[in-house]
Amino acid sequence: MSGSGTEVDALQTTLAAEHAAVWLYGLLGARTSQSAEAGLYTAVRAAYDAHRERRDALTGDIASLGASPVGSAPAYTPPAGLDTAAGRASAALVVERSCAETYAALVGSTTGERRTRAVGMLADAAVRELSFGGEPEAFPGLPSDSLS
Amino acid sequence: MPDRPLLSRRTSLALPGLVALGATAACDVDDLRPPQDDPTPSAAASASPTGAPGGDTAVVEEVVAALDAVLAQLLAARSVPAQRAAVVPLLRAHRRHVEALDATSRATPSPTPVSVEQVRAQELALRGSLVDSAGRAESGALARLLASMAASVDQHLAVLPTGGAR
Repeated sequence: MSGSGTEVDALQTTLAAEHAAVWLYGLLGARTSQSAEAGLYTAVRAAYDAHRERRDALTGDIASLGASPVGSAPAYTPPAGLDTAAGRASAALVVERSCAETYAALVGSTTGERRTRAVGMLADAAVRELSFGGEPEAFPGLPSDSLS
Repeated sequence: MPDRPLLSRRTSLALPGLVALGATAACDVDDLRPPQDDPTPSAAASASPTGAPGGDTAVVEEVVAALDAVLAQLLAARSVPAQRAAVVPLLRAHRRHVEALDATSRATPSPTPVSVEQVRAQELALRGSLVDSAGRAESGALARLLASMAASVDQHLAVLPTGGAR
């Protein structure tokens, strides 16, 4: 499957977001009790697995286009407030909302099967937001001020 | 092909902040947020090289018609007091969806009673239509908007009560 420069750029941006998401969910998982915070742990674990799988798929897709997939950053700055379960859920919600925005941008920058996949990624992130305290919205993945 | 103005004053206004195409330069969790200084809507949409001229107008008309049909069902479902709380969020969301497409809903309540389970089925069909339309949209901006609407349906379905009575 061929891809335009715009598509490759958008895929690279999405891959960079996945690297960050995988890193953050790894951190959240390490700080969340599997027994005392079972619900949050399960949600974090599921998100970690989903983003890791997506990261690997994007890496392969970008490589198949002849581009060099971006790597993870050497370090990331953890968000504040991870000492409490509420803070960790909030951080996860921020990640999913940010990923949803990235996926929505990918939808607009791709065509065909890649767009179809991006639509699915956006839907997944939107529903995952609910696991971390998010509420249904009219326009998940679009900035709140974009349709005012 | 260069993208035509999508269709909608609203949508056009919406786009500059929506695109994420730039390189991710920083190295922290903020990298998850798409760059905000991205190209204009037309630049983003130019990634969609196919589609018949005028195709997006038809796509939008189809989506508005589908939304109108679902709104009619929701209006009927809302008239059942026990279902009101469940369906009002969907009603509000779809009204905003129609508005975002710069259209006006002409939906009136369906004459027959509608259960929450029937609402669910209608929403699933609408979701499929939105996904299909997002895939067919010539404009990347429109595709993004329709994909967001489909994701909204998914979110609402995830919290819609099951086994609702007529």
